[in-house]
Amino acid sequence: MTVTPQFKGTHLFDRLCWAKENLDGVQSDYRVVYEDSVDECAKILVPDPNWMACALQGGILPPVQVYWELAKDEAKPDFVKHTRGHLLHNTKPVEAMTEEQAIEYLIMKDCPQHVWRDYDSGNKPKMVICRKEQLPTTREWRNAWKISEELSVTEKAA
Amino acid sequence: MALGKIKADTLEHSTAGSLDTQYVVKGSAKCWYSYNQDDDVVNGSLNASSITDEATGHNFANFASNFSNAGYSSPMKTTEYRERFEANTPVDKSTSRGITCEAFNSSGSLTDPQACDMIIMGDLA
Repeated sequence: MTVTPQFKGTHLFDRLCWAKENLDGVQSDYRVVYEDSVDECAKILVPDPNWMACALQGGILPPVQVYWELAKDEAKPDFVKHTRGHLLHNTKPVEAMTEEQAIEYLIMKDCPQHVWRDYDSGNKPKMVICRKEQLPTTREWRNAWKISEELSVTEKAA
Repeated sequence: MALGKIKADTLEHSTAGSLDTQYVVKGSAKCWYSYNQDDDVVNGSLNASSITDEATGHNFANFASNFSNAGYSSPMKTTEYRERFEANTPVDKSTSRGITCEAFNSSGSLTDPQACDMIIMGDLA
C-alpha cells in the first residue's frame, strides 16, 4: 500500500502532483444532483477521479473549512488576490475518508452553501446524492431535469 | 517529503543561452481536464475536485487548489462544431471554479461534447 508522505506545509498543488504520480484514479459511481435556482435545470456534480483517490488515501487534502475561509475572503468587495492561501498548505491534512464521506466533503466544497445547508427544508429536496445509473438514461431532455417532487425529504435512502 | 530536489534559479544551455526557472514555475498549466459530458465521465485531469454539469453543453471545473485571483487564462476546445465561454456579466469564474464552457453543434444548438478539454494558466493561492 502506498504511504502518504508527511504533507503538512507542502503546497497543495505539489501534493496533487504526487497523488497523480502515485495513486490510481477512482471513478466514483456517485453523483450529486442539486438545484440552486428555481429557473434553471438541476446541476450534476461529477467527482474527479484523481481527487477521489486523494480523499480515499488520506493525508493530502486540507479540511473543507479552509475553502470556506478563502471563499469568505473572495466575497469581500475589496478582494484583489488571496493572502491566506497558506491555509491550504499549512493546515493539517484530513485523514482517509470513505467514498461516502468524500462525497459529503465534496458537497460542502463545491456546491453552493445555500443549497446544502438546508437542502431538505423546503417542500422538496434541493439536493440528492444518487448513483450514476439512477440518472435518466438519455440526455435528450437534459435542460428539463429537475429533482422529483415526489422524493421524500424525511426518509433516508439505504 | 522524501522526494529528490534540485534547486536552481536558472537553466543554462551550453550555447543557446539561459532561462530563469520562474518561466517554468509561472508558465506551467496549474489545472487541466478532459471531460466527456455525453457520458458524464472525467477522462483526465489535474487540480480539479469535480466537474459541474450545468445543462446541455454547459460545464465547469471546481479547483482542488485555489487560484490566487480570477485573472487566469483558460484556452479550451471541444469535439463539437464550435465552443465559447459562457457570456455572463460579470464573468462567473472565481478562484475556486473555472469559467463555464459552452459547446454547440453545426446547427448552432447547445450540445454535450464527447470531450471538453481545458487548460488553465495562472498563479495559485
